[in-house]
Amino acid sequence: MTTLLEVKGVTGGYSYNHAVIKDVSFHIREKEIVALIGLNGAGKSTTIKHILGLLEPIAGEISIAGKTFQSDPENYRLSYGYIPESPIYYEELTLWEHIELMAMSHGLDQEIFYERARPLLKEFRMEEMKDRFPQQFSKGMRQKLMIMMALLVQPPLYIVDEPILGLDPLGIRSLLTWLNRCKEQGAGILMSTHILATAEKHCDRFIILHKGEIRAQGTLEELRHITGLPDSSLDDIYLHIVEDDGQ
Amino acid sequence: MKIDVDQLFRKRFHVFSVEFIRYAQYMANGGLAFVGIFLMGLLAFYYRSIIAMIPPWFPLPYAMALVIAFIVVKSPLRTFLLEADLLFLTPHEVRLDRYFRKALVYNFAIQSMVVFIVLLLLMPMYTGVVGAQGVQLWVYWGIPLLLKGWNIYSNWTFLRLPDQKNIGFYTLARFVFSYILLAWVLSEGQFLRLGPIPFGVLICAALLIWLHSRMLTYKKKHSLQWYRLLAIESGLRHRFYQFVNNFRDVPAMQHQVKSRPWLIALTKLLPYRQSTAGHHLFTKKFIRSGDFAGIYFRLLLLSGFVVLILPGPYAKIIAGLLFLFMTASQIGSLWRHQQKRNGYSIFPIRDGQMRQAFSWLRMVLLGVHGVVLVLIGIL
Repeated sequence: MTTLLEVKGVTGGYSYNHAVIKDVSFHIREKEIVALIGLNGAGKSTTIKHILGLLEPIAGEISIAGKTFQSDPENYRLSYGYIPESPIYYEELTLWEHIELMAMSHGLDQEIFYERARPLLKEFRMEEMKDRFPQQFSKGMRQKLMIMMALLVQPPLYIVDEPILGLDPLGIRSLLTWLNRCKEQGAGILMSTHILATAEKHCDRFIILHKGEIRAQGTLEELRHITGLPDSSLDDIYLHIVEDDGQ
Repeated sequence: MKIDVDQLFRKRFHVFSVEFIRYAQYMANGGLAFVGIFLMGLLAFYYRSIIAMIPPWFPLPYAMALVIAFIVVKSPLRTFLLEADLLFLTPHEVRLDRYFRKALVYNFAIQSMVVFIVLLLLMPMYTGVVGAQGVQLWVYWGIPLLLKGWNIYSNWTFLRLPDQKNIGFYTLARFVFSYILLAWVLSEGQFLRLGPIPFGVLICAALLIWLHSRMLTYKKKHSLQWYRLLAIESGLRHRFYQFVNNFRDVPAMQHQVKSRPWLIALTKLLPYRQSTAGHHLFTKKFIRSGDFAGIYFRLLLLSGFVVLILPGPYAKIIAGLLFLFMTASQIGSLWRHQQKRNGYSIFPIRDGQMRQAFSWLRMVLLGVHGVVLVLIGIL
């Protein structure tokens, strides 16, 4: 299977003197959902910002489908779909105009855009909101807008930052169903989250980030093996790893 | 706990004045202030000859009464209330009378200055064309200021009404009353006079009695509408920022979004293509934002009017060019507004394309403005 995202020995953060993440390495292949888990301030969002090309690593290299941000900044941005933790939108555009502009800027044909947009609106029960402005939405609805914009483009790689908080139960189910469908069609997904039960159920592999470093990564079986806790849940394994560190 | 209402008002007023002075300095430093002053100078220079163009059949006193009535009736009330007052001040509502009275006095002081300036501008017409003098001039200055005070007070009272529609109705009533009184006074008692009976002033008196009886009832029946007062206050604060924003970009400014479906329909003319994504974005941003499109159309109307009334081709050309310069600098702030949302931009549109889309929009807008001015100038 092809590797979609390769993060190699990345150290980085907001300033050169103070690295938030240290020597972080992992990869994401086709047809897998990988969870990035960690406490508040563990470095999840910083890692994601590095992947998006918003922060420049102090050391190490990040490539998507073999290309780094530095080598091709214009096309790099077209190679992933990003669902941010706090919704970003234009106050001046309606929901429909957001997704239309997303399709347009990614170079999707108009027919394909219509074909994909309608089922998405239906799935997330946002058809009636079509011509309204995100300013009038609740946080969950804005989150749905972000999700629809990413799913519409059908990129090979998804980067999803804490998608579950603020979504209603039906929204969570829709999101996970669609992500699973994307995965089966060959996409790779990196999902940062706090909700370990959901991660355990839907993710193939787990990366445990603590204080800016990767403490463990692998499938649930592998993590059980590393920690010596057979039959344990992800929750237990995670707490074991994090608490160990405190002592 | 007792609250010192006088000190509260003094504090709020102080905060506002400090902000006002800071922004006033900002505006004075900007180049646009000079353009504005220059344009006013140009108009002042030609003012007498423009007045001379008014045809003799024109009912000047009634037209002036209309202008003054608009200024006098429109009484937006600043109360310097804050969002948090909903929580902290509402328990003291009964003791806040003095606070609001001070706010009303402030509003009267500011708005009577506007009335004064309008009266000053209309004065040459009134003395020159109508030929008023003596006692009539005292009336000319006195009645509008009295009406201003009365309108501020009555508007404040009618704001207690829970239904917005009723307030609109009473604003209309205030307008009718103010207009009839002004027209009667400015026409030296000729308005609606049939033989010896001055119907105008009789209607006025009846309206005044009726309005005051309504106000007495409502004062007893309804209490303050806090949410409305807050909405008015934030609206006026926004207007102030918007005004300053004409000269300098205001960081605290929340851009208002209006849906404007009839203008948005124009964007359907743009083709759906990857290379036009930036055009769509900028055009929609421009149309929907209350500020950019609003100011553009206001400048368009104002410049058309100025170019129309200025005599001689040179004055027309200079004024037209100055207005085009103002429009160009307004459109420039659209680009800066876009740039301000730095960090992650949600659509992967290339920088070069954004720049190109912006230049295109600027060209279209300036082009339209220019063509309109040339057409009006030729007329």
